[in-house]
Amino acid sequence: MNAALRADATASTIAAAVRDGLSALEVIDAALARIEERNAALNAFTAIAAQRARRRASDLDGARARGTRPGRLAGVPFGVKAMIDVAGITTTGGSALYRDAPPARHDAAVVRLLEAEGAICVGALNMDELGMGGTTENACFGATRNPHDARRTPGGSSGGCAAAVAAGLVPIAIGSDALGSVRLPASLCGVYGLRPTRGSVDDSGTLGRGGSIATLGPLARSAADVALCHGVMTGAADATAAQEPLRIAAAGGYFRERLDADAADALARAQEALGVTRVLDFPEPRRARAASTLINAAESATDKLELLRTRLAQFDPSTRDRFLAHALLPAQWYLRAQRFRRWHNAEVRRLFEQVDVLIMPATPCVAPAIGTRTLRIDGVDLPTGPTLGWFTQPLAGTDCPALTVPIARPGRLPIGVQLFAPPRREAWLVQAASRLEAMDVAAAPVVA
Amino acid sequence: VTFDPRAHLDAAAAAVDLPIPPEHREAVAANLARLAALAQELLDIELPPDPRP
Repeated sequence: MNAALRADATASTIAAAVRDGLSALEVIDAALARIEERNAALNAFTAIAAQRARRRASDLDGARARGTRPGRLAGVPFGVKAMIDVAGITTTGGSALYRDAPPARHDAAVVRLLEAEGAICVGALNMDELGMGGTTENACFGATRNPHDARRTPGGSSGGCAAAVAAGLVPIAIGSDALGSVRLPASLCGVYGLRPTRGSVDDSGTLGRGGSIATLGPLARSAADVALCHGVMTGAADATAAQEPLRIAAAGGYFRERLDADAADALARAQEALGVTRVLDFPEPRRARAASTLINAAESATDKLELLRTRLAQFDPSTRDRFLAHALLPAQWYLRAQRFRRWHNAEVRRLFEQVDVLIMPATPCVAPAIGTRTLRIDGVDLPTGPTLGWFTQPLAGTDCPALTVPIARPGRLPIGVQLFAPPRREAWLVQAASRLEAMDVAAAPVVA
Repeated sequence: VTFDPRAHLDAAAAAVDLPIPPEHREAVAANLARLAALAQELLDIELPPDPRP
């Protein structure tokens, strides 16, 4: 079998093979067969766009036969979080509120950008309802399972994306990250997950767009695929130039607390491999977490008032009370959080005068079992949702990109570390991740 | 600052015409109390004059 048809093929491998003559239709048929075989158990995809995908693949093969050079993502199958419009399928947002809505008439901007470079969307992926959660336990569409252990959560809210990439159903998926919804599931499923620079990705055609925190971001199984996909999503011809030497420091204080032995071990291995000896303090992490949580809460209630008045029973039981509370927040809390955020971003810019990349944990622990209400970290019982996002949330209000890098742990449950860089310096994140990958410290093997 | 989540719930729900069913009242108040604690952390810090108010 051509290596590009296997479950562990990366987007870069597939695109190169298709440019060299492999049929895109063959690639898509292989991906659809994997989804058919494994999705019932994983519940990663909530909609599969088989006909659309095969048609696009045939069109690509036909165009190539006529002499058109295939794009940078030629024939690469991808999935999108169920809040991103794909023409012909219903954008559910993981919610019963939208389950029976008419199919989207147009593709979201990010789908258009990826498909313009030859990528082919094969379907929509499960999520916490309207992005409100961190475990992808969805009352309407069911819980998504972690491919590493089906009893465990993949994390969330882009849990379907992380599970589909980890299981090799698709090499890349597009999620969205407000408080950590790409970075957190990437850590728990052992894949890469990028939160790009705020405002760098066009989110037109996504449900609930317009908030000041959330951004769309790719999940993938190699650092090169992150760079490739991010470049296409942002319309950049190439990534930013590499930095030599790359100054990397560890985040101290808050980022050394609330992590269990697995998270501490992963972080220590990554730091050692990168030769990190310097420790710097991320400014006001607790208040940064508070600000981003408040801003996200207030903005999550945008346009929800009428739905809460008239269709409350259709909200997921896990989000209902939260959306009601979010609709009642005092404006002054939101404004104070935004003011703090402006100050905080200036402090973060100052921090980046001393260092190029900060390394920190991505999650405090490996994936908990589905249904877990509290996590025991360092002998203390803590609520699952806020605790899983403990290390992703403080970064959420910044303009900066952050990347979860999966640490190689053969035979053990996956966990990642988080890299953080100044705005528009995604290339530095990829550079550090590639270094870890080359040393076999980072890896995202497909889970059979 | 003393924040009474139930009193706030009643006043804010009336202000935006969002009835809170009795069975949701305690959970919504608990969420408001949790968010109030986060807001308090931000009200407790003195920030320099805002360059972009």
